[in-house]
Amino acid sequence: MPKKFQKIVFVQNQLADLGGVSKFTSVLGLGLQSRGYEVEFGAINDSLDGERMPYPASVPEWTLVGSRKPPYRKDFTKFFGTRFQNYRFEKALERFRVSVADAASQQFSQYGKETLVIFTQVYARERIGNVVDFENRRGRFSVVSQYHNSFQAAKRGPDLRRVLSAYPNDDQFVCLTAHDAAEFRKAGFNHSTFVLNPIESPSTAPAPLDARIAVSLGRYNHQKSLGDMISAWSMIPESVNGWQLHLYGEGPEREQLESKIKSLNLENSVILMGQTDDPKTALKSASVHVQSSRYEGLPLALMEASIHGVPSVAYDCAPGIGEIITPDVTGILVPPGDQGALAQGIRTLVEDADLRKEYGAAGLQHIKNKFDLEMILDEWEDLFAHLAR
Amino acid sequence: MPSLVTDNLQSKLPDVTVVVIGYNDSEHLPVAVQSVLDQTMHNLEVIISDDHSTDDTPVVAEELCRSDSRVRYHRLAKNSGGCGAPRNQAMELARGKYVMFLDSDDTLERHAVKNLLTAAERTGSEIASGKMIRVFVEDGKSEPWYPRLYLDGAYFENINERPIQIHDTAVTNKLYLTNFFHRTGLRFPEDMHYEDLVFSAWSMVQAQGVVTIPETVYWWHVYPDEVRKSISNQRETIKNLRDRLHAVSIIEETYSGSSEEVRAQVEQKVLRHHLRLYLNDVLGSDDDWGYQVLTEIKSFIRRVSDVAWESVTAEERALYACALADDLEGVRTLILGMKLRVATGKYLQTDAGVVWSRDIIENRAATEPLAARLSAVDGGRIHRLPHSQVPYLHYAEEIIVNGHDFTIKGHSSDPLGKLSSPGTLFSIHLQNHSRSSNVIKHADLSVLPGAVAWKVTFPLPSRASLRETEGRFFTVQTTLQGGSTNQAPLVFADPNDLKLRDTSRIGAFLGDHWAFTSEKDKPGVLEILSSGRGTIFRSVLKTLLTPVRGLAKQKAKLKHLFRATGPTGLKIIYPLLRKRPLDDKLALFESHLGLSAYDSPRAVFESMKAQHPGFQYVWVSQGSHQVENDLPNSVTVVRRGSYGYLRALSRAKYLVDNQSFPFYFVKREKQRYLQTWHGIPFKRMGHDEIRFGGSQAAERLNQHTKKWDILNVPSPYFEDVFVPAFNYEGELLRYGSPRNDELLSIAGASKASRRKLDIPEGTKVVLYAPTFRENLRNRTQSASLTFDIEKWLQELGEDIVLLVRSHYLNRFRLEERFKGFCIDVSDYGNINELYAAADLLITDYSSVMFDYALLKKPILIYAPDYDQYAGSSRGSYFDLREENPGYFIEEEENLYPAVRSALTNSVGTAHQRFIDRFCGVEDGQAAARSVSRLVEGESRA
Repeated sequence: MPKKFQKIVFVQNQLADLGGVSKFTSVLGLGLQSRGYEVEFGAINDSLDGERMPYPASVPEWTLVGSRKPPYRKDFTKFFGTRFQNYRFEKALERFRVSVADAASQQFSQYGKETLVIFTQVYARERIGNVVDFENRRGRFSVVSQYHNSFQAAKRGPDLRRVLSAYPNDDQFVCLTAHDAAEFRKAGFNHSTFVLNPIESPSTAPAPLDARIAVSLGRYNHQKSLGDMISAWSMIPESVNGWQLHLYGEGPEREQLESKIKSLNLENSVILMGQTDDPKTALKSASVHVQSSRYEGLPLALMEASIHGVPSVAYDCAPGIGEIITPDVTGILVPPGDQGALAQGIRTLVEDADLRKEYGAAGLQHIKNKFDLEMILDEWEDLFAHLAR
Repeated sequence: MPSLVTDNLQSKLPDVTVVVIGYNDSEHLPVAVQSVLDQTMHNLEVIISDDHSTDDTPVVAEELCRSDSRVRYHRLAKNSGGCGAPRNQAMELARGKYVMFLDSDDTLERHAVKNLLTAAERTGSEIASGKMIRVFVEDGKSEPWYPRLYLDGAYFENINERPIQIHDTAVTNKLYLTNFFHRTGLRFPEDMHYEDLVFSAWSMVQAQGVVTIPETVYWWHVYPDEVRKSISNQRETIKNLRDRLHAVSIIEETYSGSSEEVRAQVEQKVLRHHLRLYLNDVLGSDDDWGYQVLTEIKSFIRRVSDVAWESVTAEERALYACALADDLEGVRTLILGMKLRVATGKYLQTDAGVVWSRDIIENRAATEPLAARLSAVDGGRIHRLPHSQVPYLHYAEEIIVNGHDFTIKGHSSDPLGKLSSPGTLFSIHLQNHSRSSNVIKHADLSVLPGAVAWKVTFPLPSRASLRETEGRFFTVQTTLQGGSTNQAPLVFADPNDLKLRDTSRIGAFLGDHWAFTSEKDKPGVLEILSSGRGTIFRSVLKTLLTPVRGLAKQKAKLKHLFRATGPTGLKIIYPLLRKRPLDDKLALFESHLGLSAYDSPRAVFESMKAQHPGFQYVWVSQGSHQVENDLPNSVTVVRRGSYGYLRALSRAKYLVDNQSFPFYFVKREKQRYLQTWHGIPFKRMGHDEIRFGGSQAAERLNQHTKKWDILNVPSPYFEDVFVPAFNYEGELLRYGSPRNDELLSIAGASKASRRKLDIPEGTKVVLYAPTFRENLRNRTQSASLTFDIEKWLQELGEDIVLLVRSHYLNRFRLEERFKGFCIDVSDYGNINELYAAADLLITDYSSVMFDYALLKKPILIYAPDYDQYAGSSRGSYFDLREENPGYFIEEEENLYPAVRSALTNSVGTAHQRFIDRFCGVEDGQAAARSVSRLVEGESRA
């Protein structure tokens, strides 16, 4: 059957900001381009903290308002009282929204029936909402919206409400796992489906798993609860010492983590490595990967660890975790918040080199089979065909 | 890249044809069609099938065809008057692989077609069906249609695999494979009404594979004129009934080859839906028409199978018994009861068991064997209900306004004859939600056949201030001679709209009125109606008082600042209050943090009141009215955490408590504090509690314990365990608990206690009183029982009454269907009376076992989570497995034989050993002893 969609436009909040969504965008976008689609990467803003992920040069990019930041309430002086502050903030917000909407209606006016727009994040969908709904009703381009977190994660914050109010009229809602799709369906979404995120296979050999290093790739923030990980590490007895826990990342909890490490006397074994733009090297230097997130979608770090052959110990905090790791076959999953179990899990892998290698190899195979880019591109093309019916 | 091929997409055959039928509905037609064109499924066609409309439907339809090439228009050569012909003709024209039907005044959900199509293709089904939502156009409210059929998706080859699906008789929420019609030759019948019911039955029986999906697919718009079924045109209604009965016969015939279960479901639908629609209307109709309905439906009632009769309630069976016996009044009485969810008529105890009858005079149903059988309601539950659980109908029929008074005349249903028994008190309360205003009027009852009549006169309510605009509600309270109480709303038979001039000074000044409004068969409300003058005055006042926005927020802040437990109260007022001299004749009592008016503090209070009538007594309440209601009127009740509480706490010479006073309580030097403690401990407490957190908590506990002057010690075991656990060093008052003083004398009062609960004599009574579960704390949902009541009823029969008393921190919610077998006594004040009423106590770890054991009646310890509870959760002082009063059960299946055995045998030696080892040593004088130590102890010391 001939393709209905020729052009696929990905829209995110901030173009190529650091995070799983940008990684997904660049991998899937490049894949679709190689299958003959015209691909565009769009966003409301440029990456606002200046850090950006390298996007393929072959894909055209656009942003609606460039580096113009959305206003923040705290940026407005309180000098004349909070009411005046609020007033000025709301006015600025209004102006910002109008300019986004103006730019959006111009940008989106060029898309016709052959275009499929994929909103990867809810904020972008909210801001561009009016424009898209208007166009969509006229039967112009088709719209797919995504939520790159688990249903549980959506429910714990304002996201669920936001998703439910922003996405209902889109042609399809795509989340990450079958379980999440079922939950969203129960919450009232009649157009839920799911597609796993793909991962590229590296060209290099898997990690040798002989360094006495455990690694974490997660920002120093509340979500990743690295404090839990450090506590768990402190429960592992001296006998296995000589092992080090390397925490790659940066974030608001750095000071807390530093003082926690100090108070537990772990300065020699737990090291805050700071930001890395080369997770591959970090993973290859390690033998165990640890994740202690409170909530997740389909965490990229776990997938990257697996694809480099590094076995993981992780909190089982989302259905997506179980998609990546088969418990006690490719890694160890423990109940979220159970530091003792996390410690036990780390210890099991740290003490048993054979088991590490077994899990690592099985994990690599599993991830190659399940998250293979070509296979997932096929799934997206099936979805495109479904949308075109 | 290949060029765009959307044209190809359009020229190939559509996947789905949506048939939109309409007659003279050009107003809604475009909306319906647009809901199809807006589908996320694009490759479809719309056929507008016009039943020869006489309005501008052709023009509107042509316009729709022009706007989208997927729309086609078909006009019937002449009007058919039904839905069958337009659908059949459109089916012939359909080019889609699948067909759906849509009515011109309804709409499809945006993803409906795609979801149904995907499901049908995935399962290879001939029919795919989704959830339908009824939208009431008048008020925008909506309700799902048979939601229980659409909880999850399901697939079945044959209707016998899923009999309940016969309840969904709609054809519009379904997608049909076009080949299915070709294969079976299935068409809508054209010569009758209710053709969709028949079509639906035919298709369900013939389909090979049906899939249901949980997604909503169809919005069924219910217009106001459809809701108002016109009773005015009765001849039309009878014809309509005949049409439906004709359809029902065909449906029954259609399913005659299906399984017994399917046929029973079909018959259940006949009883619950098809016939009930007409019986419901009998309530407001004239007699001729009513009798005509009964005559028409009789043959349908007679052929219902026993299985189907079993599947409906006792009251529904009684309804059809009345219909068979031509008892029109009986039908009306039951329909009214079902509509208002109350019990009406009479449940008569006869030689043939319990029989429902309209009144006490005779059982008319006895004329026909089937009717006689159906009127027996033995299997039902209403006739078993104790007074407190009976859903009475209190029906106000007439309101007479007489100057400043108004009189309400009405009657109450008396299904079980309890209200007409001598000594029953009947009162109506006119109160606001907060119950700060409550006018109570009593009435005498006169007995009518099947009901009691009454008449009550109320003065207009008084108002506290001009800001008070709260409405007033009527509640009827009935109390039997034995003390059993029931509360139920007063329902008004007719819509009312009365205005009464408010004669209070404020009201007269503002020109306010009391407006009495009620809808038919709803509780009424008496509300303040502001006059023009009053409205202006109020708005001016409000403007004056609200100079800045956000005043409410400021007010909340100030309120916090100045409340008793805020900074002002605790830092300034409370210390000042403590400077005032103690009141030597003031005593403060608090039980369970102010949640109860019983337990030992009550016993000490009663004894102290008798010995020192000149003293002033203050009780503490947590805020509910329970404590206030349970105490004599002469007692002052203060709210815990209020300024009144601080005042009493700082000035009372004598303090009696069974748990602990709040953290801010500072004991004054001369104050005397009696700690009566609320139970003998099984689980570890105080410093022994394993999970006790840190030294700060321990220090706080010591601070509390230090304030106690006297501690009641019920038994040597208590002294061994409790005293060290709390590091208590003060005076010990050995032995006995004040609350148990009355225990031995009350043991003989079983009869009185049962009357108060309205439990018939000779019934076995089991009291279930579980303890507090840590893991349920702070949960919003209610606790559940640790066993299944359903199973309990199966195993032990329905002749045992189960009293459930949940812990005051873990409330439990009793399901409606268990009423009669199970009574929630969590709010029942004096637990000793429950002990007296019970034949057996079931508990897990609650200290009630130590008190109840003294009555030498059996106790069953049911502890399904014993290891977890006694082990990790809090730990215990002894092993109940080893030392228990005779029955210790951990598995649910062992519970039932044990209950049977405990109810038939008397207690054994283990019980006596348990008493000797743990229980209180009671001489009935503990309260008197406590009072004399409390009052005189200090002077002697």
